Amino acid sequence: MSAARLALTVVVFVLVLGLPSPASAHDSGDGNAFMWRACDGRQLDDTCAFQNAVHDLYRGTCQSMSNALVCVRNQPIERAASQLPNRMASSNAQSPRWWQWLAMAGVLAISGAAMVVLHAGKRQR
Amino acid sequence: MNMQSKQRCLLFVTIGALAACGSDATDGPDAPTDNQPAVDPAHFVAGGLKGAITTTSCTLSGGTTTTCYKIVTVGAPSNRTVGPFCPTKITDGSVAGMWIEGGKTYDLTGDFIANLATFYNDTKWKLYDAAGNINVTNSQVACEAAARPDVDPAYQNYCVECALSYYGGGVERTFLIPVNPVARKSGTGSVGMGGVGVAFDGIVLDGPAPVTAIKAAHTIAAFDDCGGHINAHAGYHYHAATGCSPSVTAADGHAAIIGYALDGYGMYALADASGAEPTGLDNCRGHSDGTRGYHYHVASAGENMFIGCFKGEQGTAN
Ligand SMILES: [Zn+2]
Ligand SMILES: [Zn+2]
Repeated sequence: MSAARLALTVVVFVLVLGLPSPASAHDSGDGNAFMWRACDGRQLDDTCAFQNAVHDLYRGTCQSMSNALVCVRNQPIERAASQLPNRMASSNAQSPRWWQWLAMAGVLAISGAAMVVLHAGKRQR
Repeated sequence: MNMQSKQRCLLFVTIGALAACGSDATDGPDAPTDNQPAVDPAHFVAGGLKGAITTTSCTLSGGTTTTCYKIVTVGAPSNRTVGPFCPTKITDGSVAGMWIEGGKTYDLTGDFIANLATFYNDTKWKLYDAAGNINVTNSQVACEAAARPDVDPAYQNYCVECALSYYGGGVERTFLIPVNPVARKSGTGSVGMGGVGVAFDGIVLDGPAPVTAIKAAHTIAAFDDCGGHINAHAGYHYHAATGCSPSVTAADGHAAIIGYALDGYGMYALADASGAEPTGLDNCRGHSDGTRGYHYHVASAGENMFIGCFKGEQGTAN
């Protein structure tokens, strides 16, 4: 595999699999619990996202209510019919965790190295 | 793919990766402003008040001593009768109250109650007997046993409703709200039990209902169509804004104001005159403009909450 293809593969892997997807009402059938579950493992003011039962997308931040964190929407509701193009963008609504930053740094390092290799290869021709 | 296009592709992907890291939402230029309007007591409907709104010295949550409006409410809206809440038979096709689930609101009909096991994919849900009569709490003892957080086992699988007549027609509440909101120097105040604000009909705007705990006992703590229900401690209180309570519309098409938060900032409806939601809200669901200063916009009815946090120092709701 060429360096460029390897870098591309890593980037796609991180973007598609590495970032958490919005919590979904369909996970448990437990109703509004997904608004609270969207903040599992997160901290106050972290960004969060969840989908309601009909896949409308809600994006906001984790706020403390009665000593538990709940995802409080602060972006207009993205209705299911019009939100498909935003699904990938919704992943960015989550605050990157330390390992995501690490993964990104790795991706950039690999990409940079690949560009150097490619550039060198071009000059040899 | 030639070498140049490979490089362009790589550059694009790298820039894309960088862009993906930089989307953390933070509070923008939406902090409280200096020319913040004072609370306007004239917005409150007299019929919802125990007496005239007065001023008193008060100490806010951040320790600031200031002047507050003392708003004593009767605990019942003056322009309507609360309810209905629960349907009584599963064949009852008319809409009783409302239920909040999965970010949506549902009409509480007999059919809805009959289909709860399917709705929740849990066969333990069965709120009716062989004759199709729905189990409804029909006394003060029953409503209080079923409405408490640790639901009395005898009242599992009940539709829970209480009547204001159990509480002398309404539970009196006293709100102390700063005449002039005091912005927090840093951070935000979190929403606890006991209310986030008061609507102009004098009804408390409460924090999220613990619907998960309620459903663990297979009970429906029914809301009326106005998003309110009754318990012994809070009396009649709202969990959702559905447009029932009085509001004051804005000449500029901005959403109407429906009440004040405990920190004195205005609470406005979700959508403006054209039906559009505001953009650029901060973590508390607030933002600022030149007319209203800092203010909140309440969440949609299906979200079981009004605002996310307090930008100012709170008064009290008792
Ligand atoms: Zn309640
Ligand atoms: Zn506004």
